[in-house]
Amino acid sequence: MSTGNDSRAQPGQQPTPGVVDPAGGWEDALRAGQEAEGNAGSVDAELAIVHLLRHARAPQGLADTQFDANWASIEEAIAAEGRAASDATGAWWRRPWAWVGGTAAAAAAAAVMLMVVLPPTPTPETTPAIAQAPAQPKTASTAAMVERQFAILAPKAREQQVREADDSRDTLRSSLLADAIAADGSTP
Amino acid sequence: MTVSARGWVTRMLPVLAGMMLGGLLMLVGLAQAGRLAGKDPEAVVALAQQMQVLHRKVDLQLRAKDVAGAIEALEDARTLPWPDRERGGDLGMELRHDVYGRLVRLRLDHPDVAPIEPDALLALVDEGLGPEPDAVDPNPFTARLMALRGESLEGQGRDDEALTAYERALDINRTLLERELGDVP
Repeated sequence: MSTGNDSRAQPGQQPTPGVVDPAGGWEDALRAGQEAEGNAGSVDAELAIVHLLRHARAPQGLADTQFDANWASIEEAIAAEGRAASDATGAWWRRPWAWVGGTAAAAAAAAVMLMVVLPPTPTPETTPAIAQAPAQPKTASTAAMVERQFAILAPKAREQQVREADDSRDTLRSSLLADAIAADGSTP
Repeated sequence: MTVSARGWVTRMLPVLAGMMLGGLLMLVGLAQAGRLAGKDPEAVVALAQQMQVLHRKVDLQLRAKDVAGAIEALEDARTLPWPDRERGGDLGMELRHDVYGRLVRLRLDHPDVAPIEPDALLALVDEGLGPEPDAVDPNPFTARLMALRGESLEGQGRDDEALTAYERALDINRTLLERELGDVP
């Protein structure tokens, strides 16, 4: 594309201003030429290169407000990217439903542990059912158990019976003796 | 020792002697707690001798495999003039429960020998237990007869009542065990 800006100076002519000279009016000339050609084509790419060259020649500092504004826009863009990445990669502990669900699961686990660890307290309503439930299987074994206990306990109990019978015999003998003495004493 | 001190000891001596006697009587009472002595020692002695002879006889019959003879001998004992608890004390009741327990055990183990109806067997047990079996001082003979009542009830399909009888028997034996361990006077 011809821009019509030839920077080579002809002899006897005043040197044309450089492309990077902001006071040269070249940009205006470039726009005018574009209009003359019916705004055909684009000069934006050429202008971007010229702006770059000009900036490289004389770097222009940013005002503080402009600098802050640039950083604000950059930070906003970074934050948006971070949120998108977090949602995509699944940092589950940052999600609200994870906290709600985790709390509920922990509470349920604690309740189950309490039920398992703490022994059930029989209530008046449940106690008869517990007592009646094993009636059928318990009876036969209980009868045998009582018989075994009897075999163990009976010998000592019989010894006790003999001792008590002897005590009664002593009491009876004393009573009979006392009666006999009394009878002798009363005999004239 | 001063005169006043000797006088104080002299005055307090009857009190101290009374305290010692009271403590001794308390210990004797605790040792005999819950055990009723019969008012008729003659009846108790006679009954004990009769039961001793009866058990020896049944032992010999069982050794000779004469189950029917043993059952008959024990059945005859039902007609004895058993003293009640007031007259024969807890010892008289124990002797009675022992004999009836042996008879019911034989009948349950040998249902084909001189068979009787289940209701008659249960009536036999209740006859042996008497009117107040729970009032008798805990002993293994009453516990066994109570458990035999449970077996009789179980034979009639009355499982709930049988369970109650078994539990009463186990309670008695539990008390006896606790006595052995010294937890219960």
